Amino acid sequence: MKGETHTRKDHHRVLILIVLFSVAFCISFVLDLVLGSVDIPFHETFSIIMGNYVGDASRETIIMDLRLPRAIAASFGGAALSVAGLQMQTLFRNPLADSYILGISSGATLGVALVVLLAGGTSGGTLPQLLRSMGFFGSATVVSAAFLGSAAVLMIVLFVSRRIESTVTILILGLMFGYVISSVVTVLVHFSDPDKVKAFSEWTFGTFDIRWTEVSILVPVTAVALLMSFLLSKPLNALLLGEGYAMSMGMNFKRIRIAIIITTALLAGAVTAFCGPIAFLGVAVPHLCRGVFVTADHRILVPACIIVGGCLALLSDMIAHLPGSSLTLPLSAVTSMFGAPVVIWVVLHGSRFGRGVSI
Amino acid sequence: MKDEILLYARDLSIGYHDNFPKVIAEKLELDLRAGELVCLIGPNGAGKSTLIRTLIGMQQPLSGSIYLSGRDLKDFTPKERAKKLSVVLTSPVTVSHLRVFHVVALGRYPHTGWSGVLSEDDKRIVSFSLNAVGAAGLTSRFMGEISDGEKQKVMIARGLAQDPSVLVLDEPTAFLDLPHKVEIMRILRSLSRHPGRAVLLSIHDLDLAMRTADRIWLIDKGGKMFFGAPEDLVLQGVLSSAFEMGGVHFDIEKGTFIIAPEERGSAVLTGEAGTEVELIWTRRALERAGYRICADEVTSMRIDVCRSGGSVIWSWQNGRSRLEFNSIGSLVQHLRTLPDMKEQCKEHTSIELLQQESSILNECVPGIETVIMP
Repeated sequence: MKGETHTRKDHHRVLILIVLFSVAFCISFVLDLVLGSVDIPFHETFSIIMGNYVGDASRETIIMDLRLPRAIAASFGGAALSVAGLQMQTLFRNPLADSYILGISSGATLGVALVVLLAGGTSGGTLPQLLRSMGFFGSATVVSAAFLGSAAVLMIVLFVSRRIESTVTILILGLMFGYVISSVVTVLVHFSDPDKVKAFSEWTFGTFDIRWTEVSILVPVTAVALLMSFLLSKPLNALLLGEGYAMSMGMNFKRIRIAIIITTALLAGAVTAFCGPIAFLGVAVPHLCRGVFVTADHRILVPACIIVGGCLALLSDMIAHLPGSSLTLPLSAVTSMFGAPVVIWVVLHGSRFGRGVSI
Repeated sequence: MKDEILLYARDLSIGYHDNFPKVIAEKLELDLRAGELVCLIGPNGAGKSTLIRTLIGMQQPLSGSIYLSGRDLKDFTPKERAKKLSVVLTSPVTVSHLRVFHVVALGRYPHTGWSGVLSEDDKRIVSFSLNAVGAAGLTSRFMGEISDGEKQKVMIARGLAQDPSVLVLDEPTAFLDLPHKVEIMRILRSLSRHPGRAVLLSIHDLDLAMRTADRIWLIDKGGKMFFGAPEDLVLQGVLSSAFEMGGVHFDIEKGTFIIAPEERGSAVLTGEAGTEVELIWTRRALERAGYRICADEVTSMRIDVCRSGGSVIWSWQNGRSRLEFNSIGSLVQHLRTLPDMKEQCKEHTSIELLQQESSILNECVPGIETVIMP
């Protein structure tokens, strides 16, 4: 049958693409370990990770304490933001939705702004210095502030969404929360010490430079949420036809909507708390995957977003660290600068559906 | 036979519960029987959509109960309900990167496991559903590639794949051109003939509803409902009173609503043998242009249809002026340039009328083949 052969061809193409992107992911992961301000050759990196390296202890520290946690954070962070964005685009049936549409990043930003800009601490300088001056709390304070901020916004969104029928209303509420919060942040920034403002704005650029203690929380949380998201594939597929159809086909819409919002909150909230608000991946990767895999089926898109999102996050992290120099670029700037042309290409290249994007 | 009734409502009141309940219709007693196609009609704003939404469980009734296969709709879980009742909505489907097959396969939602993997049986039902709506050729096309009419067929196939006993459609023919409307109605009618299944749809197109429906549910502006075969409703005068509004009235002989144009006058229409079809359409055109067709000779305007050679000639005669046209279009165009007959009779003498007409005739009127001046 004609339909059958198409289905089989689709399966083959998806399989080949998944394998290709997995290989790309592995290469990016290794390159992210090898490249940096100090280039550490592959065989040395390998033996360090395998635990049988004898030699320069500083190299061991660089790989094990800096680059490995960073690469893991980038992999999981990229995957989490991409899948969160995918879920939001499907739930709201809006191609511009991203992982932060519910106000998660603005909540986190407010939390961090309150801590960094208002908290005591006399010396200025960079964020680590500032944090050191705040003593005992350290980066844990920033993480908790970000987490509490995003959790607070989400609680409000969840509470409101239990009573609201229209999903568009939730979308608009999320956006309005975002505006109100960013205006509060703007006021805080306006009246703050320039050094503190610099430290704060560094946080808003986002970074995957986090330590093992943070990775050990980020990884399990996002892994569980990614699995949940995959389990939600069937209702997400039904939602492609709209809420009305999904409900008519036997989906318990309110329960599924809460499940999708909680999953998104865990994914985007955890990443934002530890790595700061990272722009672009959440909105771009789902479109990239739909375009490349030519499907809207979430059973394919969720794994695709995990692999492609992780891969792009690793590449962005690599570029941000400018191999061979000791400089680093703001991560969000890199993701947008190098990601936007890719998406523009996908959008303009179009496909059999004409130009533009759709979900 | 009670077991034949698939969906019924008792003492049903529909409407909205905002701050205070707004009743749209109350005390409704509805029955939908197996094997029938029922069209729900009514003027805009009468509450067709509210009734449909209430019957499919997307909106709570204000009071009363709805029973699906003899069981209260409230007692169904969404999944159980989806196995008995499927719905085609008016909301547009925007998904593009999904093959038609997979959209129809979503109809198997209540029957598949957590991941939605299709069994061989499920696949067979999907193919069968696509065949039933005549969309088998679209199976491997993407939703983004097909037309609105094709999408509607796909959505109906998806509803069918749910394997329901009741298929409810909210204005399935909206946004479609006439041939596609007719095709969709033909498909729905054939689906309703399946044993143990009934089809209920709301529709704006009265003519189509009257020609297709086994029974009509008519809801009027006051929320009053009437039931019956289309023809019975016509004879009872219910149809005309429900839809009557300024400028539109129901023509009981033709069974359609017509736009009543301002009457401009009357004419006698005659034709030689062999022009019967032309006469029917000429009559329509004249009525559209505002001329009443009468048999007597009260009026001075005559239109005669005759064949000459291979072509048809419409000759128009008013008093002593006479014109011939080779198409209805040019005839009507000429009639439109004439002054209103009723007003003319009141305000002008016949001489003035004649002068005016000849001045019009001197202008170039396209389509005139021969002008015979008096």
